[in-house]
Amino acid sequence: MKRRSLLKFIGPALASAAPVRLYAEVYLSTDQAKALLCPKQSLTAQAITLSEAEKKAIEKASGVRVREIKLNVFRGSGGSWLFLDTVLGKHEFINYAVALSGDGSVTGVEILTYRESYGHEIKNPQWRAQLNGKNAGSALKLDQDVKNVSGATLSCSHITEGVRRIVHTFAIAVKGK
Amino acid sequence: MNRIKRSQPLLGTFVEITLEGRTSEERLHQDASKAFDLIRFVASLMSFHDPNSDVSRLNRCGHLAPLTVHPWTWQVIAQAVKLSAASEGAFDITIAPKLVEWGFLPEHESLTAQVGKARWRDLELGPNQTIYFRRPLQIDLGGIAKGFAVDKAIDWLSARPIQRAIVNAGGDLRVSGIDSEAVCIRHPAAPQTQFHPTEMLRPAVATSAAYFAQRRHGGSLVCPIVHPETQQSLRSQVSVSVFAPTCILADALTKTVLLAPAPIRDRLLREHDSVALCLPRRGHPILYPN
Repeated sequence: MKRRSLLKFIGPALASAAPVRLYAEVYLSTDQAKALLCPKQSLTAQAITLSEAEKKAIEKASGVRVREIKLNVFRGSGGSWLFLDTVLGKHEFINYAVALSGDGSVTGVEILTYRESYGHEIKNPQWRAQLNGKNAGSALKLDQDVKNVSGATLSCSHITEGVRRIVHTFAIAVKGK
Repeated sequence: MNRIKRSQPLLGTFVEITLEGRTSEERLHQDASKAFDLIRFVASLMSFHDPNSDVSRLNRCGHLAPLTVHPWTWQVIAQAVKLSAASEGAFDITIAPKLVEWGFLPEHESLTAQVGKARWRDLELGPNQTIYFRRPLQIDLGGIAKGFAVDKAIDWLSARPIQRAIVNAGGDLRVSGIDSEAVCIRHPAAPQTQFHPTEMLRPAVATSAAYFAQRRHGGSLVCPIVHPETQQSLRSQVSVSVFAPTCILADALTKTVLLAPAPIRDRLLREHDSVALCLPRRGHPILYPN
């Protein structure tokens, strides 16, 4: 415990001492994602909040923890569905959109914003809150010089899990409502 | 001039496409979507995870009879075998069983002890896009297919009315229509907060290093970069970026530079008009061949 509380002080101090640059990108606005994933459809927001039983059922079926019970979901005039979601990985914080067909199969996934982060940032609820808005792009401070990043491959497994959670959320709590 | 930038989760990583052109943004988005489709198709052929891919079919029954695969799969395996021969085995796609054992790849069926002994020499490239395994073995194209997918996307985009295109599949990056472009290489000392800025010395670049993928196995840290002869995981924390004319070469050559002896490394880089930039955790960057 002692070591942990010590780290709390040292962590941010170290970070502010060294010039820290993080990789962040804004790819698409929510409206652009809607137009790309559900072309020529008008989308209507659906007010859906998961019940405790639904949350548990989704977690059991997908094997992924459900952090947000208020869904950000739209119904398309052509029968498609669009989910806006957020995942918090070990190294990254991502807003993304998933389109589903009427039968619940994935028709497209687009990343809206991508922001790399590390340890103490992710643990700070205030830091997370500023990125959690509907238009997360506006909260990102971009370092324009860090672009075309090449490095060891970063896994997208958190997005894969997020998409699996959404597919089961659709089947359990959205379809037929 | 219009500019768009998109990203999709593909090939187990984040694929980013940047396009600049005089056509409408809508048209650029259509071109990017088509390029993503091509990459998705390469992934469906060459994924180790997908049980329906060419790679999984081969791993299941490539040792029973020669199997016909998609021309692209054949092409990638042929390139891999060519590099294995040229690097005297430093690059080898048959190390998959080790990666399964360490948990980097999923286990589809129980492996026999025989599988681990096979090497690239046991791969036979037949006529009419057939592949035959002379003994039971498993291949993983994870060290070469990403580069190939980027090349396919760039080839297609270069034929479109687009001024500039950049395709980046998790660090395997190639540009088209651009004379000089900056690139930031993650520094192995702090891969998320320190970047080594450089220029694209060739149209394509790829980077290999142990950070991000290390895990514990039997009490020691392992990473998915394995020496094919010794079956030992790479211990060094160095980062290697290879700049090459194509991304498939850049992708495959990073492992060769990490694992091959210096004379083979330098000969291969020269033969393929490529250069390697090594970033050690501490100290100055080194450029090969020197």
